[in-house]
Amino acid sequence: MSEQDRQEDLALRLARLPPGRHGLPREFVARNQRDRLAAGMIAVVAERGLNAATIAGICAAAGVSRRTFYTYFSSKEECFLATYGTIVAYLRDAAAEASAEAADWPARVAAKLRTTLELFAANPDLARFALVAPQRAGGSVANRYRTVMSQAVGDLCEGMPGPPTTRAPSEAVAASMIGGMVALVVRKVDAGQGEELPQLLPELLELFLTPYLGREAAVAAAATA
Amino acid sequence: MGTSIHLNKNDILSDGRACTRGYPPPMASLPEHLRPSPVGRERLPREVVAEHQRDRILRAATEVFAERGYQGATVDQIVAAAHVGVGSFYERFENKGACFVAAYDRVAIAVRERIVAALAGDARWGERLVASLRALLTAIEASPAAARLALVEVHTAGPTALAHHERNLDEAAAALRAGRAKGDVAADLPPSLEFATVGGLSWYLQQRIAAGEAGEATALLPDLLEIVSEPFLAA
Repeated sequence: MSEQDRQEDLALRLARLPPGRHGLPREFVARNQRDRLAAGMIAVVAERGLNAATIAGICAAAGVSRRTFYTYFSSKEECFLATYGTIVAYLRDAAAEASAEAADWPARVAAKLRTTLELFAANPDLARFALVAPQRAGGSVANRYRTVMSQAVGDLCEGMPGPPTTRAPSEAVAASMIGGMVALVVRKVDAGQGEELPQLLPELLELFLTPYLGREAAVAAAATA
Repeated sequence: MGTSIHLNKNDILSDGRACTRGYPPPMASLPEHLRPSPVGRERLPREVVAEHQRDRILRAATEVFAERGYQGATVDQIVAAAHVGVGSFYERFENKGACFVAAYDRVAIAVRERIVAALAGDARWGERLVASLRALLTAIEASPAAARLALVEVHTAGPTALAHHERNLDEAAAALRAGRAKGDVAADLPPSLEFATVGGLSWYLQQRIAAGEAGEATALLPDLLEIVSEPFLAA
């Protein structure tokens, strides 16, 4: 693919970045140069990973100059971490909002997982950017990713009734389970099946709820989700 | 191992380390990979020397990759730590990435050998599971650098390294799956359960190792057992 084709391809994907209700708000892309840089970062990192991404490539995808890049960020990593922070906050807010009306804890977990999977399915680049790329980047970026995953465990466990309503496995179980769920999601994304991520919902729910509810109740909760 | 071929039985110290006959005393205190090549090696067959040097490079590379990260490590650092020339490095490895994959495979093979050695053929599935996890944690504790290479840095070293790692995880999932056939666990479990359990286990270990806890890894055995057994046994 020629350099010009590649840039047009990225531009095309940028144009598709905000698909309405299930994606980022349109103004996220167009509002200002900083947000355009974030969108460029997402597109380039989703395609090549952070280590192979270049500032020149990010600028080209964002349609801004190198000079503009350095107005906002001093390095590729800084731009990545800022963008990653924005995306993580966006995903957590969306999950919290979607689960606000749910009747009980298992229903809240279901709503959070469903919303996250739907957002990733509507824009698989986001899943590549937020779930696949950080771990493969290593260094401080991977450290940040590990912290964010611990927060995700906290978000899912939030409001859990605890004994005697739910079982009480050790914290290691929840901490490992998020890794198991991410492994299933990443396998689908790596296979180019990002659009099918919502199909994983019953499997992920059963996996996450079983240690807390026992198998029978977890299977029932997964079936009604 | 190539490192012990030039020694005889009497050269092994009581604690199992090879002694360094022929070196002046200060050399004896150096870690093995920092010592110069043994004198008289020209008497050894060429392939023995080559194997020795390859192993030496991979051991040094493991330390460098663990300390600097794959991205931060350079071939210069590896050859300096291994005390070999850049030419010797490139005779054996095309580049840094190929060296990483070889170092990863070396660690993975050693861990598998430990696990196989810990398994008693006629033990029940649950007992085999405990023995496997204990052997894995003992290996991590014995070499935190190798653990960091194989469970943390492997994700950052490109598609070939990742493919090798995923093949090993798939193999672990298949071994776990054998438990279903033994009738020790429920049969109507989700098909991806073993894959997710192994993914969760490696994620948990990655976090602990990244947090610098590899040196006390055997203390994690109860956690690991719970992680692996909960999804299967939760009543």
